Amino acid sequence: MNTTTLKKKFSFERVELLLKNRALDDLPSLLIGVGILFGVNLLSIIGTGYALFNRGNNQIWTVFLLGAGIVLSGYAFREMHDEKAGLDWVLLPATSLEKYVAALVEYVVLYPLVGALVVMGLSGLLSALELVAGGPGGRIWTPGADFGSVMSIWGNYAIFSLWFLAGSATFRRKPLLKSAGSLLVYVLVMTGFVFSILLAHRIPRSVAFGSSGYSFMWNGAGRYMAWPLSGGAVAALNIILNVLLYGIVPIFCIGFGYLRVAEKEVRDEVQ
Amino acid sequence: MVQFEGLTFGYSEKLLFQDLALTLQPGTVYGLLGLNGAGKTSLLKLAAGALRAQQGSIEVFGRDPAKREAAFLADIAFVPEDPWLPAVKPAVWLDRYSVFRPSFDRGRFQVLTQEFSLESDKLLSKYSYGQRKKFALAAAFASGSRLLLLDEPTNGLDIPSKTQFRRILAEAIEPSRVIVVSTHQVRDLESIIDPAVILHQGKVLFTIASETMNSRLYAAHLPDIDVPGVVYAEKDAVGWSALVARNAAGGESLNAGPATDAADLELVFNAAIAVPERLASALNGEALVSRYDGSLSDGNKQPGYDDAFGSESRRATEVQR
Repeated sequence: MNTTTLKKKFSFERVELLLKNRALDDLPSLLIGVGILFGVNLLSIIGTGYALFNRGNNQIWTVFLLGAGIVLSGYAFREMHDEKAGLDWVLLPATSLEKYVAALVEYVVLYPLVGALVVMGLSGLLSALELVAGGPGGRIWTPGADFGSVMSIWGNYAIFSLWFLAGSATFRRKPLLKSAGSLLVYVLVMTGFVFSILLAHRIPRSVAFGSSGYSFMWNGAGRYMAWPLSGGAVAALNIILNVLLYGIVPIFCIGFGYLRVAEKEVRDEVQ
Repeated sequence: MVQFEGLTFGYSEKLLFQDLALTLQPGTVYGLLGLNGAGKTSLLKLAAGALRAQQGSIEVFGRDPAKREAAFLADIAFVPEDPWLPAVKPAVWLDRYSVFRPSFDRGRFQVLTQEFSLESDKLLSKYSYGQRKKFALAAAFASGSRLLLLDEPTNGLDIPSKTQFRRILAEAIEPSRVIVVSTHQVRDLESIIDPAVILHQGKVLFTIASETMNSRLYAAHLPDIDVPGVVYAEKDAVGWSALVARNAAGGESLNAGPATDAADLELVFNAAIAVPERLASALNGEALVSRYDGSLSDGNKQPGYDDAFGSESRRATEVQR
């Protein structure tokens, strides 16, 4: 980096350096994650001849993203909150925006891309081991095989990742747990919103809450909304929920997370 | 230049600074002195942009630290009292972190780490407290930054390292650079810090240049303090360690002790806290209106700021170079 770059308000060169540092910091955790995934599948192959998460579909990819990507996102700003490391983190010569963008690109974009390559390799290895163990083998996962689903999984992962990144920027202690808790609250609020609409339309209790034992039908609510709501109303409700989940929530998470990073102060002691 | 104007800052309900004003000029090593909790570290963090003022303004070489621009952050180096270092070896640290500072002098860094006998094949996170301090100091002195903020730099350093540190600090003085050293170990650094800035109860109580201090005051060991010219004294096993005014104009002066003796910064600091009015008079070359009675130094009372002085702190004499 030179003095010209230093004067820039936003520098891709600095973001690149931050990305590199993050990747190197996360490498041990990533290797542990891959090791666990491999270990679980290896045990499954030894026991049954089949890899548990290598059935030729996107399952292995999903497990990898959710298993490690969310954890890494949830702890993305742990150094910033650390009593000692926080000062170094805040005073590292890069702007708050660059530091936040680096985290966002790392976990939302780069991690899934690099992860796809890792998972392909892992899937190939597991397939070979299946063959050796007398299993079916030949079920190597590739993102191109069902690209639409892969993109859909990535999109959903991105929302979760952004949520956990914002949580990591916000919560100083137990960010993963608190982010998960806040996500649960969001889901419950949205569920309450849907049910309040159903109740407002006087849907019979047996339909709204399921026909068997009055159990709650969180996932099935949409199906029962067909009556007495019109098809148009259901579609509108779906649009609202989708706009919230895929539009408002990510924008809110990005903005909120960035503000938490930009406003961070190292106020731990008085001397 | 570093300038604090009308600075107000506090934690929760405790106000640390109120309407604080301070200007730091380049080419100078400022010694920031204060009791525990006076806000020395907080003032350094405010200058660095790690904390934000609640009111007032801070300007560092024409920039607002609160904005944390990359160019600003590269122009400051902060060595905290207990530095944190990542779990990498020094060479890796250089490749990963010094690259954010275009003015970082790798050659100087290598020289300093060798002088401090830092192990190059050991993870930084495995360094001892003293080694971490030395590494952080080496990084700061090689950073090329114009503002060096050193918080208790001699804590954790062994005796030879303190000598090395003083020499390196002296070498780091440049016409464009401001160095601020916050310390309780005034005797480690009194030969190099000039002026001393004394923080107390949210204000800059004194800014005392060495030249003024030594031309107006000297330290002496006295059997008795009931003599003219004593500004402040502390009882020890065989008498009194006293801070004495030289040639107080129009008033009493004490001819005890060699006139070539320098003032003791630790005594000056304690005098600033315990008897600020007497110290201000002595530094201004004014007559001391009464003899020192030792009432604040006999161990029965903690040196502290008398509430009766209260608002007078705003008028506390600032003796500039």
